[in-house]
Amino acid sequence: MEQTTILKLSGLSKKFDSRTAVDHISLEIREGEIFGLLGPNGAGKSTTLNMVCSLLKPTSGSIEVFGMDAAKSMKQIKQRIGYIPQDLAIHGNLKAWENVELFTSLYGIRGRELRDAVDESLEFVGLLDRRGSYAKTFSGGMKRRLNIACAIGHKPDLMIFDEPTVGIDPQSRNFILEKIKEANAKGATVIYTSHYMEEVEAICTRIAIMDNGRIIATGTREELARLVTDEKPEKVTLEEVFLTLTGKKLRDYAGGEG
Amino acid sequence: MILIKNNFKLMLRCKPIALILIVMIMVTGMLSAVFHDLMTDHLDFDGFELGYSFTQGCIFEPIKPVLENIGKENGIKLIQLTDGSAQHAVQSGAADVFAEFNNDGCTVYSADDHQIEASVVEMIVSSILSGASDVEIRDYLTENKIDVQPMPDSQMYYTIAYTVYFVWCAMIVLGVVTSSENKNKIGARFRTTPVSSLSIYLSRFVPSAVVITGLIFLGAVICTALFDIAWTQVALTALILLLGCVASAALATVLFSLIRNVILCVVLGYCLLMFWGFFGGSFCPYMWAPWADTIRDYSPIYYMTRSLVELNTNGSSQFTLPAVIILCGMSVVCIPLGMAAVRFGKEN
Ligand SMILES: Nc1ncnc2c1ncn2[C@@H]1O[C@H](COP(=O)(O)OP(=O)(O)OP(=O)(O)O)[C@@H](O)[C@H]1O
Ligand SMILES: [Mg+2]
Repeated sequence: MEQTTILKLSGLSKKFDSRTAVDHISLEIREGEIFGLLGPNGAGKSTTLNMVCSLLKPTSGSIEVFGMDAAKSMKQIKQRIGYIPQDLAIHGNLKAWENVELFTSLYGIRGRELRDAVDESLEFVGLLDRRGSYAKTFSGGMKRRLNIACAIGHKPDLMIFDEPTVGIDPQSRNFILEKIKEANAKGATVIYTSHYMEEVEAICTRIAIMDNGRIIATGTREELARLVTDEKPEKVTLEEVFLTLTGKKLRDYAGGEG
Repeated sequence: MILIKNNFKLMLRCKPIALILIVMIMVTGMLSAVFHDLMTDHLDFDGFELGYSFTQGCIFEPIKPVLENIGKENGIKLIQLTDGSAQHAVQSGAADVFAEFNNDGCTVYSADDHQIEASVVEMIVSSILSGASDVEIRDYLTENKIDVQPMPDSQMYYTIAYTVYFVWCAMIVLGVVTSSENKNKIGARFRTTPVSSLSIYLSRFVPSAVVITGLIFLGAVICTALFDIAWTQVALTALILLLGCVASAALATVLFSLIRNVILCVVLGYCLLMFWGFFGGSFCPYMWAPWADTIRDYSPIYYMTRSLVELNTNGSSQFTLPAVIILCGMSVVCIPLGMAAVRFGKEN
C-alpha cells in the first residue's frame, strides 16, 4: 500500500565553514511512520532536523514537507510540525501551564481552544497535577515532558523528537516512548532521533542509520539486520548492525558537540 | 496577547528588578543630602550685605523700594547709608558691597574678597539703570526680576535627575527576558513556529515599556512623598517621562534584537548611559558643569533633566520642546530599526 509522503529530502547538504555536517542525504518518510534516525554523536541528526524546521538553511538540496517546498511555504509547514528540541526550550520562571500556553499560542491558537489545548497537552505528558508549578522546580524528566507538551498543543501532523530521552530514568523514558506511540496511533507521523538502540528498536517502524553526515542504511529492523547477516536476522541486535556499519571508533573526536 | 503577557510575567517575577526602584530612591536621597549645602551655598547670597546711598535729589531714588524687594527675595541684606563715604563703609565691614547712586549712574565698591557679590550687584544695578531713565522703571524691574533663575533645591534636582536616569533602564528589564530566552535556546524554538516578527518585536517592546513606566512613576511618587517635592507642571512632567520610557524601551529592543548577548548589551548600554548621564547632569548638576555644550547636546538625559527642572521651578522651559522632539525622534527611529533587527535575527 502506497502512503503519502510526508517528508522528502533530496540531496540535502549542510556545511559549517569547511566541515560538512550533512552530506547529500536523500530520504522519504511516509504518513503514519515512526521513523528512527540513528547515529553516533556528531553524525548530523540535529543538523538535518534543524534544516527541516528551517532553523538552518541548507547549503544545497531541497526539502519537501507535506508536499510543499520548504524554501517557499515554510509558514504553512511550520504550522503542522511539532518540534521537540534536543535542548530544553522552556522558561524556568514560567509555570508549567504558562509555558505550554506560550508555545501553543505561537501557532495561532486562542481563547477557549487554547485553554483546552494546554490542559490536554499537560495531561498527555502526565503533568496536569503540576500545572501551577514553576518549570525551574521540575526534575530533569519532568522538564523533558514539559518540553514535549509545549510542542503538541497545536496537534501537529508531523512530530519531530530530537533525543527526547537523554538524561532521564527508565520509567520516564518508557512513559515518553509510550506517549510517542500513542500520538502516532492518533495519526501523527513521527521522526525520532536517538543513539539508544533499544528505544529505536522498540518503537520505530523504519530506521535510517546516519554517520559522518551520510545515511548509510535505511529500512526496517529486519532489513537492516539482513545487511550484516544472511541467516537469522531476528537474532541480530540493532546495536550489532550499528557497530558493524559505523565502525567502533569514537565519532566526535574532531570536536563535535555532545 | 500571550507572548506579551508571559514576557511581562517574566519581568515582574524577576525580583532584582525591584532593586532599580530601591537604588533610585537611595541615590536620590544620598545625593540630595550630600549636595544640599553645596547647592544652597551657591544659590543664596548667604549673609551678604549691600550698602547703598543716593545723593541729594538723585533721579534714581524711586527705585529704592524695588531694590529692597530684590534684596529681600534673594537674601541680600540692604543697608542705606545717609552719611559717610562708601569707601569707609566697605573698609569698616559695615557692608560687603556698596552701591553709590548719583545722577550719572552708580558706582559699586567692594573689598577683594567680595568680588562675586560685587558682580552680582553690578548686574542687578546695570539692568535697573539701563531702563531707569523713563517712568516705566517699575515695569522694567518686574520683568528683570523674572530673569533671575529660580533654582531647584537639591532634593527636587536629584529626584528629577534620577527619575530621568532610570528611565533608561528598560535595557535591564528586557535583559531579564532575553537572558531567559538565551539560556533555554528559546529564540531558536520560536523560529520553528509560524510566529511573526511583529509579534516577537511587540513581545519585547511592549512589556519593557510598561514595566519601566510603572517603575519610574512608582519611584517618582515615592520620592515625592519622601522628599516632599512640589511639582508645578505635573502633566508635562509625566508626558516627558512617559515619552522617555517609550524611547528607552524602543532603544533597548533594538539593542537586544541586534545583539543577543545580554552581557554585551548591558556593557554597551551602561557605557552609553554613563556618558549621557555624566554630561546630562545626572551626577553633578548641569548648572555647574563646565563641559563643552556640544557634548551635552548629545545627551537626551540633559534635555529631559533640564526641561523638567525648569518646568517645575520656572513653570516653563525652552528645553521642553527639544526634549519631546528628541524622545519622539528616538522612538520613530528605533521602532522600525528594532523590527528590522528582529526580522534579520529570525532569518539567521
Ligand atoms: N552551528 C554549528 N556550527 C558549526 N558546526 C556545527 C554547528 N552545529 C553542528 N555542527 C557540527 O555538525 C556536526 C553534526 O552535528 P549535529 O548536532 O547535527 O550532530 P548530532 O547527530 O545531532 O549529534 P548528537 O547525537 O551529539 O546530538 C558536528 O560535527 C557539529 O560539530
Ligand atoms: Mg543532536
